[in-house]
Amino acid sequence: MSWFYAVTIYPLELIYKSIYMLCADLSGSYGLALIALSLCTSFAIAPLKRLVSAAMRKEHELQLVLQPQLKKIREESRGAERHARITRLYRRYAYHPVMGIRSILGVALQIPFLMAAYYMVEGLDVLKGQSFWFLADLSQPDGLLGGINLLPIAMTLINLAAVFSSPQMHGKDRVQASAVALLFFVLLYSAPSALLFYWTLNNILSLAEGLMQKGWTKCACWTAFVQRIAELSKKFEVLERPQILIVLAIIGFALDRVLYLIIQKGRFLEYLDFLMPLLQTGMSLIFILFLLLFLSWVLQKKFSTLLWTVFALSSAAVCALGMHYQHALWMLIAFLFITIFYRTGRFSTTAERLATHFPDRDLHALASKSLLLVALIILAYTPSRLMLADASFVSSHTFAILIVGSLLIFTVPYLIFHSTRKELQIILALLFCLLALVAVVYTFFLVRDYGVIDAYIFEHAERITLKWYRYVDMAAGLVILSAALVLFIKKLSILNKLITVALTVTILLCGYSYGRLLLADSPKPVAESSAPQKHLRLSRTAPNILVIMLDSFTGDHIGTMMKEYPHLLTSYEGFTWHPDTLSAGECTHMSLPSMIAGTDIASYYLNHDDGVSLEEKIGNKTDTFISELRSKNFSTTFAVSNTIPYIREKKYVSHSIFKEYAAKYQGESQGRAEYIPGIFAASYGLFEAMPWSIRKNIYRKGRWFFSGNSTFDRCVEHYSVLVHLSDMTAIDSGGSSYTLFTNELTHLPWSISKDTLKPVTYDPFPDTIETLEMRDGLVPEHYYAEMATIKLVGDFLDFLKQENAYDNTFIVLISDHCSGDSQPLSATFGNAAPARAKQTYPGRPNALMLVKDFHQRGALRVDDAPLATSDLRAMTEAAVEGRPFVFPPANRPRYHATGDWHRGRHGKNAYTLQSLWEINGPKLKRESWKKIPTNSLSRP
Amino acid sequence: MNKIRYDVGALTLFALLLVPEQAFAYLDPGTGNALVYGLISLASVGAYAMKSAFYWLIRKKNHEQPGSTTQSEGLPSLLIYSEGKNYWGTFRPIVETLIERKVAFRYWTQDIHDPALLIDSEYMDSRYIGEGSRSWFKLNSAQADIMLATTPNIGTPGYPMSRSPKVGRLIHVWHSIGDFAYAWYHKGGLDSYDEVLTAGTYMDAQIRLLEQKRDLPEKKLTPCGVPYLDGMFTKVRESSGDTPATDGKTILVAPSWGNKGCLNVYGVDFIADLARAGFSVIVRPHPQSLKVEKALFDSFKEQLASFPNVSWDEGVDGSASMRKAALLISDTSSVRMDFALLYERPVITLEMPLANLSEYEYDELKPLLAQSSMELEIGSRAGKADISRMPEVVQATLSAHSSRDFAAIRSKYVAHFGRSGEAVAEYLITQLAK
Repeated sequence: MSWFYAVTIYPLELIYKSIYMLCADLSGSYGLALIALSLCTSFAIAPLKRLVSAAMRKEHELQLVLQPQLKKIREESRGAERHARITRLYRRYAYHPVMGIRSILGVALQIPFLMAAYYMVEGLDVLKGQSFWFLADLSQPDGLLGGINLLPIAMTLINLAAVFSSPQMHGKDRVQASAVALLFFVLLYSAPSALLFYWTLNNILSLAEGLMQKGWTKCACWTAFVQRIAELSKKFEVLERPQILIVLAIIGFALDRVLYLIIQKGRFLEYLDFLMPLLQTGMSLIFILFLLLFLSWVLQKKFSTLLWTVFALSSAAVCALGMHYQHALWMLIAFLFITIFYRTGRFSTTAERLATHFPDRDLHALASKSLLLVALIILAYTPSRLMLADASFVSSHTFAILIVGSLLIFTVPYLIFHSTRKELQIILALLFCLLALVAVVYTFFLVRDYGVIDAYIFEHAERITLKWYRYVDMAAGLVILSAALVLFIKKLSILNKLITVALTVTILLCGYSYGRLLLADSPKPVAESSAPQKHLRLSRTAPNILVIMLDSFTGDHIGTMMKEYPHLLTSYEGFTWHPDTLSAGECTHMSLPSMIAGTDIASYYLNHDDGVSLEEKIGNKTDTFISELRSKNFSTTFAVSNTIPYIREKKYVSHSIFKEYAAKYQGESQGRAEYIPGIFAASYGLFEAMPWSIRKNIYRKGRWFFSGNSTFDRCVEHYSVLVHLSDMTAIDSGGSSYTLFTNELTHLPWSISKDTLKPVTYDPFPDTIETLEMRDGLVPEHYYAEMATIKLVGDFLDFLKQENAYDNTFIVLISDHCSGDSQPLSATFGNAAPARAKQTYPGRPNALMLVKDFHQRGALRVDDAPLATSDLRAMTEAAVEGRPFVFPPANRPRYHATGDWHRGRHGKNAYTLQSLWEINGPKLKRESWKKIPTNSLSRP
Repeated sequence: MNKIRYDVGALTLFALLLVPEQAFAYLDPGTGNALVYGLISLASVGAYAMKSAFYWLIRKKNHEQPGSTTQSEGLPSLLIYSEGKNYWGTFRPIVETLIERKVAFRYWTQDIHDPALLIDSEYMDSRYIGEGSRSWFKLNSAQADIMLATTPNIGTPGYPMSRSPKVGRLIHVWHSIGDFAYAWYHKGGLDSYDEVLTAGTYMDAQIRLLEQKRDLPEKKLTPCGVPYLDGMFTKVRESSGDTPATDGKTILVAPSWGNKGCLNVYGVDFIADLARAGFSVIVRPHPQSLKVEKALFDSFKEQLASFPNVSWDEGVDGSASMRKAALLISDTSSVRMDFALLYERPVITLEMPLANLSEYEYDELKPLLAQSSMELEIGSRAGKADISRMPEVVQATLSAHSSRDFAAIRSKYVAHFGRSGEAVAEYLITQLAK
């Protein structure tokens, strides 16, 4: 990757990619997303285009003045005199022939944007096989005219139309431009149709823009349209009134709350399916409103009434749709204040007086210096300290992200500042200045120590959430605010000088740090954290018991896999699959306790309030289990998620272990990981510059603010732990071991590609927009995650065989519950082709049970004996004692409870049982299932 | 040094264009065309650079002093700063005299269309300094013994241009006439100036009053007149033979625009009255009115359409109408003084309601201005009470005309009438000699 690409295009490509994938997610179509991307691009580069045309206009204007004089000079003089006169003429007009290419500077500025889109579209694997409208495969040339590609022809025709309809071009220009258009035809003839489609759209937009600016302004219907838009803006003027906005906000908020409450109760979701098109229509409406805003802006060359209207409506709508309602609400409140201040006459006299009190020059200086200071502190100073401390952050990507980030931090607010009215400028300048002061105070003075950073994780992360921080923040905030306000109003120049001093010091410090970075010996690549920590242990000689709990694995998908992908199961030598296994409860906390500690702490037995918390009841039982194991000289390892409160002696698999392996995985897999140090550096800069109590929002339980795609990240965490399972396992010749290891790769959300069985940033099965939407009774994304899990655990089994620790290990692969997409069980309950998971049969009973006894080998067997997940305890006991497991009688009743136990949300002493089912006989027979009252069972 | 920077810039740009070779595959024809132009420009830059090098070598070989293209060695100690072409009328007579007297000076303008840039003289080092912040930066660090400017507010808070510390003396040259000329400056407009070349000694009292009030050091005041009248006066003299003098019955109405405009306040009924009384009326709207209050003026035209003796002058140059007119009716516009002094004919001033003037020097000059007699010296004043009997007022003003001594008015309000530019230039030359 060249430096040019890394610094200029790569960050933009990432932005493009995220916009594109977001649009694809929202619209559910890769084709529509291309249209959205094209609109976004046109919108984003519009200011640049304006810059270019301004530069060209300036050049043109100058040439109009210079050319007659040059002509005269050429007529009147020759040789040295002519050259001297021309030089004097150029000097008078402060011109140099090199400025003739200033129009090209704008183009050069556009190139990175355009190339980013080009690379993004080119590099998108997801487009393979995706059809859209008349295009069969977006990743291939279209070949629509009997093998001849239609899109390049259409594109060229549109280009030529643009050339010949542009009033700016004449004679020679047209010939040149046509030649360039034909050149592109040749160059792009066999490019992927997605690229051409996108490119053609861009050209159509620019053609439309050209027509709009030139010819159409004189056209009658166009004038009528413009007038209509202007009238429309006037009609909406009433919405500018603050009281109406407040009412709208309240309605929006109320609607949001109601919808939020309904949606939060996930079980009602299926009844809300009809709402989905409505929600999407709402989004489309907002989009159309924004388009109208854009048009009115372009036409009237100013932010019109419509802008405020659209902001008001869309904020209320976004609120109502329940999407990021908190952010929308804050935006709305801020917007209200600004509107009240900006639009009502009430403040105008004060505003006028303020305007004369604050000279433009001082305000502009304050705003620009403050923004520069903020950008420097967040994206230059703090990251430089980080890079000095750890050379692994020094990379071109880090610099690229920091440079682009600081440009954004500086330019965008400054442009907004620059284009607003004086009253607003006063507020913005104060705001920027406050931000800068906060950044200075917190970065340089109120410094906190959170321990060392290891793999982006703080050693003492718990210090981030200390409650007393808010008092420090309040005090600091009060001091900063009052000092800034007093200075701002009384002595603006002193405030300006203060910021200048801070800026100078920061620049010097940055210079010092980057100087040291430059002078430092070539940065040593990070020492690959040499030996990964061994979190699990198995004995090569003594018996081991290894329980791998795969959250949400739907048991009978093993049967589907045996048919469709038998090679995934070849490593499972000596295993027996028990398809008729029933989970005790529909969620982890209703199922896992009885798996570890036995049937008598199943959820349906514990629901009597005896003043003892569930945590304690289950904890006591697991403690007993652990001490029993210890008494038989078994070492114990509980590598479980930290959301499981009742195993008191455990190793958290999340946090440090996840992150360590996720970082390791990302370091190994190419592509995505490259920009992570840059993202982290930027996030860390922001973290250090923010008040203490806000920092928990920037560093959220090991995740950094800018790190984006949570589905992918979460998936990578669990995936990478499975990939490195063998690395983190120590095999020795010590005593026996018991290991409970849980993994959530099979738990939603899922992001595993079917082809590679590796994490991907896009929807692995885009045909189903919803996470739980099914195809033929199965959630494809879930199934792919299960396939990846089976494959990776299989690799680990091979590793055990290689290390001679296979035969002496009793292995169980079990799931706490299924994910609601069991095809046979759906059929049992009369739903041959259900649309959504979880709704077709009671609860999520279809658990996985794959068992390998000591010294078992041979192909995977299937045993139809009815089992329950709570039988695991008995199996474990038998294995510990070295005796065979005695299957319970086939006619014993089994139970499955639905409901939940959310700590904090529900009572601590009881489960919220919604239904209880008694299963007498095979679970795939409808007549085996009988609903019984939730309190009808008492502890045996 | 500049040249080197440009050429390095060009090379870098070229390299930049070579790196992303795929980029060319992703450009629309317009952009492609721009690239082609860019390449052509690059070629011409190369040719120009080579030529420069060639002539530099030749000069070096002939033992000429290479590099200098103007006579002025070092920085000429006189710098003239112009906001743009609108001030060329003021600066032209000064510049012409300076060139004639072979005095080297610099001329900076913020307007690419400033006619001063067309002059290729070895004595005049003129330069377009750009617009916006770039030019302010240059101006704020300008270096000169004397800097001559028409711009009020230099150095006042909120104005982008400050008084450069490297300027020895900052001299203001007057570019409007009358008692009220100073009153319309924003507060503090002349406070940073060291010297003022006044229109006439009548201004001294006003300037001194504000100096005392603000505790400012006394500025040196030299009456030099109003240079922009020089050119106009020459024109009037040259053309006075071409057309017959006024018929004595033509009235010119020349309002200001917006809420300062007399037609906005008084309407056009009085024009109809004048037409009915047999006067020929030429209405000359302010150019800005035709841009921003076209609807209003269209309705005025409609109201007066039935009078064949009312005509509208919307041309760029108003001198033809002025020549024809026996009398001018206007508001606070400075055209009143131009008309009275150049053509020696009377002016009726329509009284205008005063808006909020707290931002202007008027606020503090009020007591002095109350005694002003200028409007009565050049004609008469008319208010709301008189508007219905305008034909009588006009007639009375015209009849009283012969009793006015225009020569005295001229010498009172404009020193060195008709050769003010020369006076300014001569003053500057004597100062430079010191």
